[in-house]
Amino acid sequence: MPSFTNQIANMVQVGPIVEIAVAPSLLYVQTMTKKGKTIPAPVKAVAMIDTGASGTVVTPGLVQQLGLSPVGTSKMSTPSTVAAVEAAVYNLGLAFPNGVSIPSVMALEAPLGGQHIQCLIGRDVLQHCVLNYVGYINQYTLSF
Amino acid sequence: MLERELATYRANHGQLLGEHKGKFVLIKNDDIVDVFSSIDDALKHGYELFENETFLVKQVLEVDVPHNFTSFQITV
Repeated sequence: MPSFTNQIANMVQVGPIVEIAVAPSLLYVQTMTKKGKTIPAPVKAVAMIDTGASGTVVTPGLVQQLGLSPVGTSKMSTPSTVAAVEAAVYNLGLAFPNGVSIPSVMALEAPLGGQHIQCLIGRDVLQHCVLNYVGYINQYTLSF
Repeated sequence: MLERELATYRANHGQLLGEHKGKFVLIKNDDIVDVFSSIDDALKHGYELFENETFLVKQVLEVDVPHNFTSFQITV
């Protein structure tokens, strides 16, 4: 079972974060390669494992760096929204440490203002994983 | 953001629901391009036709269930 383990200095304060690479989905890469098109290079980002998020989220700055266009929309409700708001959806691939990768994720675009993260890993990804959160030693493991 | 495609989806929602409930529709501007059984097939067709242009892939459902976020990470 592919997995990675992260040790965080203070997991209470910063949360279960991980440095990932965000890229176009494998489907996009395969189709565009066949057509002889240029593929955007992966972009590094800090992501947080967020069990309070039903979907994966990336910041507008991140998708701007990739130069990708949205392929959908989805409504989202947050603690600060009165009614659900429409968000753009991008088809992305995520690469975690230790060679663990997810070839296709439908990620919502939303600002993560004033924070140290550019991506939330939501339950759409976590539904395929085992998350082992060992709080007393500031360590977690994600296995796929 | 995809307003034209969403308007096309809404205008044809009744018919799509009657004939293709649960499937994935591919829409570009005012045109319903095709309907697919899987989201990957719809995306692949979209990339083949429109490359990196904006297009809409949407599952045909009676009601769209919003994604929910219980933490304050998102600032919308």
